[in-house]
Amino acid sequence: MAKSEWIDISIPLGKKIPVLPLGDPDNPAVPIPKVERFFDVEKGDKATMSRIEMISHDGTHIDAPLHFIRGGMSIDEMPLDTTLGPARVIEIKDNKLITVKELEQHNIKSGERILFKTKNSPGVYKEQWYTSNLVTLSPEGAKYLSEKKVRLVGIDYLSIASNDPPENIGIVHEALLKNGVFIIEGLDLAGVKPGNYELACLPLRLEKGDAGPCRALLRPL
Amino acid sequence: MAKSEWIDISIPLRKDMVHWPTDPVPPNIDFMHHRDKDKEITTSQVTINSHHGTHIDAPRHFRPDGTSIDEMPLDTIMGPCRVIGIKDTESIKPEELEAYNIQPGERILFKTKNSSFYELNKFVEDFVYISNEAAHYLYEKRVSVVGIDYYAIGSYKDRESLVEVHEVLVGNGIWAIEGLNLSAVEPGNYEIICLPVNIEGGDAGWCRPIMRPL
Repeated sequence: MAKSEWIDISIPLGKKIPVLPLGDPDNPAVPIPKVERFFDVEKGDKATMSRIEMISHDGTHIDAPLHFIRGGMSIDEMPLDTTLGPARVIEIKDNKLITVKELEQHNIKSGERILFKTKNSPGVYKEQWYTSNLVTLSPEGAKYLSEKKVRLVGIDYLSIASNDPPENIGIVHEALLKNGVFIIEGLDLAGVKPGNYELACLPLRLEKGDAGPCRALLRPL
Repeated sequence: MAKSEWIDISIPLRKDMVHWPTDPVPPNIDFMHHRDKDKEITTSQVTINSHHGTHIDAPRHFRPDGTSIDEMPLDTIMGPCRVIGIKDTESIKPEELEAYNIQPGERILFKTKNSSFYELNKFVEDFVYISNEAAHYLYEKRVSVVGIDYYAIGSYKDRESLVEVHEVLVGNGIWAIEGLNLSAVEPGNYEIICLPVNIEGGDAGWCRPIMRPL
């Protein structure tokens, strides 16, 4: 078989990925992505099986409107072609924010799937949660993208929004999600050049879920 | 835009989902916060085992040195596949498979009477499974992927056979998709996309398979 053209842009679930704490990072009541083999053929069991403890926003995942919007669409209701088909990787030069000024240069059209490759790539998944030097989407940028009626926005970090100030997280997410724009968070775009691709990505079917972990692939168009 | 042709052949993950009765890690899925209950966000806690719901077994499931789910070649479960309708109500046997001229490298999904069991919302012990003989037959045919419309490719009641079927197929590098719901799909040729979640060193990975007619 020929070498695959598909590029994996998801990050693995395991012990080495950063944790997304919802609330106090020191609060042990918040689960972390934990993978533990409870049967293992290496230890003489017939089969290997693992217990995975996580939250819906760990690793590469898609946010559904329900994550922030009362009565919003859940992840199992997402139309399948939201995350299947042409997508554009846009490189963001600003080292702090995705601004309207920079977005305006890219002639973004209705229905597009837009993935932002920022200065977060490639080192971001070695960092701790919310270091001060992350590139995130500005509230004005979120409003701009939802007015452009894009169908999907992705970013190369576990959250699309800065938590400074804390209410910014809700403002940015709501601007997108209330207009039905789904969000892929936790992309690894380090190995991908800006340009046009085909995206293959489907979230797990969590019934009435606010988000779904996913595997995301790109191949050049 | 035209209506999506894609057919979802996964089963939903939820708190009270059906699972293997002797499962030492039953699924535990619940909301931590909910927007409809005056919280600012909705988030869920998900504690499940690697073989709940629709998932792909990796060779690591049965072999210490087997390929793990994060090492699966990306093309393995993207591309053409064939849904074969099984008439036998006990098990999948070579006699029935011989009529289908199965070719090396094929992705074969078995639609059995099991697909109707999902509506019952309880575990059915005598589901249709791949017999030992059919496992050897499929291995000799060098198929690349097998899929079945229930929680395991092997028998529930015959544990030795359950292990043998997995060892012959999964242990030998044939990827197995378990927990498919094929009730909305007719036998025939399709394109499938079925990517497992990337679990580092994982023995299996949950997936969201979809297909459309070729």
